[in-house]
Amino acid sequence: MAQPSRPVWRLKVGEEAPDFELIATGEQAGKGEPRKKVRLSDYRGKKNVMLAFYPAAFTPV
Amino acid sequence: MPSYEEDLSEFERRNAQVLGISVDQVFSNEAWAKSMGGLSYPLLSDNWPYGYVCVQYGVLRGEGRAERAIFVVDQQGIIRYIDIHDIAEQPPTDKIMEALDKLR
Repeated sequence: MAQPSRPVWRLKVGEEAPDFELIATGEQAGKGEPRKKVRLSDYRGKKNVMLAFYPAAFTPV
Repeated sequence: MPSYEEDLSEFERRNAQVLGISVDQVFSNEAWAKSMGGLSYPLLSDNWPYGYVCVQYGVLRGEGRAERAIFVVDQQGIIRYIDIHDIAEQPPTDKIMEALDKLR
């Protein structure tokens, strides 16, 4: 059976964003800052967040 | 991703933090960002456990890469805009700004 190219699970507008903690570049990527952990809920009550998922580093788009 | 660098003041004006996420390791993201002259926002590595956050957001593709997808999350942690985009194209920034404008 062919593997689906798109996952079935989908979040919807109005739902709570799943929280996460991920290792990241510094606050400004590529500027030699030390690595840090970023937790989505750290922005709660402070900032809106735009999560930009992308397929891979070194992709042209 | 580089285009968001040009729009950074527009994101700041809307009190929005940009977070880039992929399954790449930190050193790959760091090298990539460096090759572009550096970015003003962090790149997050959804690498351990591999793709865990991508799965939770429904954006892990069959071949193990993330979709090209945008989620705008408000200050209460609620998703206000979703664009799971054609992987070969840049999601439209004006639509993201529109979504952020509604949050103010």
